Amino acid sequence: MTSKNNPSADVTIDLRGKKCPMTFVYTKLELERLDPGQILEILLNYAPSFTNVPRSVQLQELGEVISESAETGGEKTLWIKKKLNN
Amino acid sequence: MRRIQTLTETQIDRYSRQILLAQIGGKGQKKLLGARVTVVGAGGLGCPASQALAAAGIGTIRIIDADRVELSNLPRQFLHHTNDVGRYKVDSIKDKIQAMNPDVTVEAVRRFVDKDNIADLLADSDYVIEACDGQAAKFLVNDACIHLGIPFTIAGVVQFYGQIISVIPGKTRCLRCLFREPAAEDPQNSCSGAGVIGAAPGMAGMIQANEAIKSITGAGKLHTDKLMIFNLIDCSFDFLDIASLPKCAACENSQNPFYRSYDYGSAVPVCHLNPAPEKEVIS
Repeated sequence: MTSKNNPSADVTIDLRGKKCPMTFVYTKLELERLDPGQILEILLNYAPSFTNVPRSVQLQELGEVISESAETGGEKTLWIKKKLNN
Repeated sequence: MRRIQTLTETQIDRYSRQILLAQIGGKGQKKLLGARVTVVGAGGLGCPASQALAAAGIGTIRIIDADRVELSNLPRQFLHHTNDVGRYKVDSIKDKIQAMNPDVTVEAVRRFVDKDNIADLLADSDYVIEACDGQAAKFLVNDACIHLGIPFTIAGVVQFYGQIISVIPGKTRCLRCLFREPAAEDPQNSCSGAGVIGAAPGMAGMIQANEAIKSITGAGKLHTDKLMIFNLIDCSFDFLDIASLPKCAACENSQNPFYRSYDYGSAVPVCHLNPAPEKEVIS
């Protein structure tokens, strides 16, 4: 799903097949491992997570969604930049 | 505290609702799994406290008590079942925790704390939960933790009432700063003399476990420099600010083991009224 125009990710995790809240749990654990400013790419196919994950990332101030793919075939990709000095 | 590098898939699933918490996350969960919490007393407070600690994934729980389960314990000591009557309380709790969570190691210590053994029994603890039922025991645990520099929480309950205080040695006021001396033991003001409803120690023990979890993870603010007083018959909660009290003798010279020279009276060995068992065992 990543195209040439998409941000270059430092780490990609495939969360297809996972539902909320585990989509955010795995996103959060991966963000904890990253360095500030690094980019996490997550692949999702559980529709509620398309909005739940970005909202939780924002609420817990873990980073920001800097890009997202169009929804294709029930799947979506998000790119999250880890908060600086997190 | 042991350093836990990674969480397994099973652990991520089991602890997902704690990892979700902004104040805990994966980092906090690893700290919990690497921590050792000592619970002094395996009764009304020790059961809920150790239950909540074990469920949360505290890696090592040391539980200290030489008492055996009695039938009259069961309405408030929730981890002991009818067929545990007569068994050592710490063995009963160990069985329940092992069935509940294989991530937890239980160090079951069939002893009562006293001036001579308490330093060894509290050694290597990241947090101590005082869950005894006697004034002298509470002061002994308080004074020893002050000297050993281990953060701790103390609770006491009777009837529908309870009190809770948490302490960070060297930083916040302690039980002795507040009360100065243990009150004379009054059988009419004990759980066996005056009665107790299980929810009172149940709630207090849960709050104590939560204090341990917060201390280990750094989440939130500990219940320090104030005494919580709850009344479950009226459902009222009061808080007494004790931050401005002068330091007690134990806190004033905490580098010295105040507890070694203090006379705790006849209530040591402490925690209950029956004679100590013939054999003291750590299993």
